[in-house]
Amino acid sequence: MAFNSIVFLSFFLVAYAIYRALPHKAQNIFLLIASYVFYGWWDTRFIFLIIIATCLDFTCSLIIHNGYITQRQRLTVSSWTVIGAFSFLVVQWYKLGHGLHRSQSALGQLFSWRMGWILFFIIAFLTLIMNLFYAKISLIEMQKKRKIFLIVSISGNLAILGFFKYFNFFIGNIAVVIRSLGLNPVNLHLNILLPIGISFYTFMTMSYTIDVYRGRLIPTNKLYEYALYLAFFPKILAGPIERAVNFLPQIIEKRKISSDQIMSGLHQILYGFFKKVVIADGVAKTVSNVFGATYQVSWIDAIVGILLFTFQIYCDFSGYSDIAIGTAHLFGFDLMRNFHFPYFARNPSEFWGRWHISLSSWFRDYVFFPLGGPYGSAYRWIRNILLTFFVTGLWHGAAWNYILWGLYHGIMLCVHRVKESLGIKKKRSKNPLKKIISILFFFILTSLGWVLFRSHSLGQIKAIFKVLLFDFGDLKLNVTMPTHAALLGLPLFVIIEFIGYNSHGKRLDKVLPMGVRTAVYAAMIFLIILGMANVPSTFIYFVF
Amino acid sequence: MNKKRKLYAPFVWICAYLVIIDIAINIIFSYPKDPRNITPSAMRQFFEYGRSIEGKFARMTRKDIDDSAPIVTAGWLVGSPKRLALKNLNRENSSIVTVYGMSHAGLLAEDMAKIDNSLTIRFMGAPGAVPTWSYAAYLFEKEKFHSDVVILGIMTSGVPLICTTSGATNHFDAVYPYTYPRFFLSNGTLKYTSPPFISFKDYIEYFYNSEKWKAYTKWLREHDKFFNAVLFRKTILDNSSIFRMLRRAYAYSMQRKKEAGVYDDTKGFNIESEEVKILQALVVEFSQNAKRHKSLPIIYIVNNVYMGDRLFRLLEPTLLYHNILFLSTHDICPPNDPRCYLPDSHFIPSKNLELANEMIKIIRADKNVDAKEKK
Repeated sequence: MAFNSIVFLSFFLVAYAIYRALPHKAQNIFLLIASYVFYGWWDTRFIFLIIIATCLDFTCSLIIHNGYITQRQRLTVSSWTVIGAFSFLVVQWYKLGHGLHRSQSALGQLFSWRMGWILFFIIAFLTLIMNLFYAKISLIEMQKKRKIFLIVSISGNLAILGFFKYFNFFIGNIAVVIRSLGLNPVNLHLNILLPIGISFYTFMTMSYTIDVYRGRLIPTNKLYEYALYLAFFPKILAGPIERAVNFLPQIIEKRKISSDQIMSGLHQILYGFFKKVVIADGVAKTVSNVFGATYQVSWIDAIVGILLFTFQIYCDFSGYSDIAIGTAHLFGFDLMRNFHFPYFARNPSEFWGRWHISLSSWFRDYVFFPLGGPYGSAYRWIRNILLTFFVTGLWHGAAWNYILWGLYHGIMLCVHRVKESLGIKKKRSKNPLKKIISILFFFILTSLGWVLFRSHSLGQIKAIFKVLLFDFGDLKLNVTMPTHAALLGLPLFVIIEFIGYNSHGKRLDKVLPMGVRTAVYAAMIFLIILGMANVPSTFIYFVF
Repeated sequence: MNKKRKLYAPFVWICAYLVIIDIAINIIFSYPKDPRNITPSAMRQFFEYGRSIEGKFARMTRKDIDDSAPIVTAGWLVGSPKRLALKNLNRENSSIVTVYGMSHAGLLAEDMAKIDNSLTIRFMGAPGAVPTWSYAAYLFEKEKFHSDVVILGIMTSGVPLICTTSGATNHFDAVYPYTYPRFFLSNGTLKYTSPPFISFKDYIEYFYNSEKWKAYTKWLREHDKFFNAVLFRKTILDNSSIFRMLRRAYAYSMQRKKEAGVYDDTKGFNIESEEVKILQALVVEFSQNAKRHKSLPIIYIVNNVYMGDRLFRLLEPTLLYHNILFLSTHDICPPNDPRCYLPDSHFIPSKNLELANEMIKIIRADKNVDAKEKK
């Protein structure tokens, strides 16, 4: 279920009322069940993928840390896997006749329910084999065992992610290469539906095992605690990609919900909805008109489309993050900040410290630094940056435009670092005019980068840049205007962002006096009501 | 400030501000009280969109037709003063072409009249007319008036509204009181039930008689798929601009939900829906009826902007199978090219002229029309 739906509102109210009435341990178990219900609303069978990831990494991390798992833990993991397989691959929940089966018909093309039984028996058999072989596994030397289970964990996760997200992309590209050699490749394209949020929870679970391996984290020995870390409903669909180091202690320790947390939560939820409902949904049609055009758009169409998409993607994704973080606050959890006024960045380095922080810091810690980071020869660090941004682009989607977008940012970062290493612009200018110019300049570069991200083909990227460069000054606007709510909301949004940036990210209630900030809140509520007539769209990052 | 007060104070402030916003909008963007004022500013109209349907009727209707808003008189199947008869009506050798439909069809008729002086072009239309309105308009006058050519205008956005019965339920923002029958399929045959009133005169009688109006509302509830009491009933909440906006959001969400069962942006038309089945039967019956009455039937398919050529693709097999003449706009005005459309979704004048030319060519290709002209 999406945050911007009545179903979620009902789910949240019921879940919150029950949650507040329960003791700590029961709260965790209840949150886990609620999270599975939340996630299973799309398709119950995808819950099994999370269970597999949970059991795999729970086991691997314990073996990596302790060298063994207890018989009780083994039994728990095994029964969890088998019961999970039965509950979500065999049981036909859709027959209950509620929303859980919404994508049933689409998924039906992937495998039939009879296939569910076959998969169930395979999983039960594999679980049995693993248990039988456990005695032999435990005899392996500790260091070797640690490495083996790290590899098992990472490759297992990447295999699931690779199959569901990248299989068709790689098969498609291999087919192109084979065709270019004059051969006729076999069509191996599969009708695979991407499990929502898979990129997010796969990265969370991988960071857990790696942190345990690196000795930065002591794994939990309770399966439900780990399962909750992975499946906690506000963050499972589109992050933030929370690290276990920050989140597990919050699950384990008793939580106290302060009035400040409630206020902060409500503030973030309100601002998140404002960004999503008023701005992102309000400009969505105009953006689709430009990027979905089958004719050559005018110069002003392209400019408007690019600019509005720049706002749309930020408001859509950061809006989701705000609602997720705010909702978590109401439950007593603190999730990491995911956006920090990215469009006020003056260079790529600053931008990536402000945009999708949980992802960029993940790639920094688990890809960039292991590759060697910013050290060594120029060739090495340029290679490291480009490789990191190549996978950052690929993470967003199995398509060349995302890879190009990643590389575009990688190249910008390389240029920036070269400039820095040559001593150009070492000291930050305090001159406000220069500051504004550099913010605007980088904003334009970022916006141009979104063309690569939003376009559906390389041909379209070429066409849009051609219009930008060679049709300069064609001011005939053909596309639909944004909604009234968006037009009224955009100036308010810019003002709020500016206040936030100038106060170093402080909440409005910490910066503005009561009378002023409540006026802003009232304006946001009013605009949300106006924006509710907009066509609601799915959050953009749900497809990643 | 104590803790509780600290927690509740912002909510009190927010409520107070919302009340101020509400009152301020009602004052600054107050809608003109005189129904004959048809040019209120865009923002005044915008904040009125969410008013209940009965509230909108009350605002635009007066017992005397001259005191009412002009749009109240539009679209009535009987006695509508807004019927357009263009040129040559009394010329003996002139073939009579009647166009039934929405404003797009009206603009086509106007341009056809400009291009071809020898034809008599008539137009019977209603704002946003759905296909059932157009067909009903044809049925209501086929016995009384003979046309050599009858053109039925159908547009993509009108198809999901086929099971509505009034301009009051089919477009929430701008409502019209005109009514039309509810068509349905019974054993594969197209039938209809007429609403309690189909003329402006009767509407006035119903509107100012609470019992009759109640009976009409009951009829709507039973026959109109888009009827919704929350949107229809006038309440005290009509006075709040915020509530009006909430009602509008609700109206949009209801409308989208209902339309989604018939048409989806990605999947196109649902051929299993009642509306699509009625449409298919309607075009066939229209053609058979027309041919029986010695008229040449033509279907004018208007593919709305950003809705692709789906309506054309939906109807093409039926039209070809039954040998029905048609003109689809998608070739001349590609639906994904907004340059062919005005901001109000009509075709730009040059494209409209091209479409009118094409229609004339189709008519002229018919031997009977040509023969009459040669006399």
